[in-house]
Amino acid sequence: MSEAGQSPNELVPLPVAQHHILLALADGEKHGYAIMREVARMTDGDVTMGPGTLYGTIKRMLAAGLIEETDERPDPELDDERRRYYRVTGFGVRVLDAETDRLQRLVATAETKRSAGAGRPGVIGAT
Amino acid sequence: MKMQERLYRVLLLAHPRQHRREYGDAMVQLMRDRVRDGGGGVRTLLVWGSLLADLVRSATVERVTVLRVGFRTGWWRPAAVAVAAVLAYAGVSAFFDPATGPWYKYTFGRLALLSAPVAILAGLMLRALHRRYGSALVAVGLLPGAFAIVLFWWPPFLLFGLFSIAAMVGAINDAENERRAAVAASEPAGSALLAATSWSPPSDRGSAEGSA
Repeated sequence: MSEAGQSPNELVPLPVAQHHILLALADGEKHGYAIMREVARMTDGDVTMGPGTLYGTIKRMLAAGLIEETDERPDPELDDERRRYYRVTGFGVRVLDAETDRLQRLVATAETKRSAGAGRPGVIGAT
Repeated sequence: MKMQERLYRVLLLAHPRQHRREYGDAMVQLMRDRVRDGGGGVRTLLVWGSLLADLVRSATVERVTVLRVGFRTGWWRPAAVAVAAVLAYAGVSAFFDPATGPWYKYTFGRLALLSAPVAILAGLMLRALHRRYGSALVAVGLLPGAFAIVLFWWPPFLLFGLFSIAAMVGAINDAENERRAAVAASEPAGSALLAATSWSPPSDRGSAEGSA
């Protein structure tokens, strides 16, 4: 449970944009542009978040307690002080875990159905 | 880049004020990063295309969110939107001929004539308290009316009615208290009054053209 008493399972399935941002921040704090580039890298360029979508989603994630703003700077000398950095909270990590579990179960179900349907026309796994 | 940044800041006005205050600078910074790394020439145009699409999408989401929260936390915002929308609709309806148009549109037009002066008067009185805000609203309110006089009763005026509603919804969402929202609500009423006062039935126009 989060500090507000919310269970991680209450927030899954996560909206796609929130899921992407959580994954982008999973390996450390990043500023907005770094998040955007990481999301584009993770999705092979299929998803490019604009400023409006990114900060609108960040606002909702901050309100839900999934991420938080941080004053830490990875390398202050190379960085612009005006940039705002974000990192995943403990609650955010648990929500990400819950979402990953959910997707794994979904993939497992799809694999099972595909195996069962092998060789039968008109069903998954037929070809 | 300065010019592009300025243009982007103007376009950010489509977002609610609170959102702009909180994330406006960060969004401009991100826009600069994208344009800088996007390359030049045609690529800059492509980047701007995606920036504009993103702006429209996110501004719509944020505005709807503000309205949704308003429905839950304050009855006056949606109520003001509804009243102003009806007034704007009534202003447009005033262009319908009572002899051939539906009765309710004609009635709406007459109601606009009665209610708009009251709303405008209230708006002007409140303008004395919030001069800058009120002046901007009056200017926005006068624009469609001025066009209406030029265009007379042409269907394109419908667009000004829609513009009026959009401007008013934005102003109400940005309003920080009920008084400012009331000023915002008087804006479409101003448009309605100007529209209604520039209206004349087709028969009058025919006789006027005939006598001329």
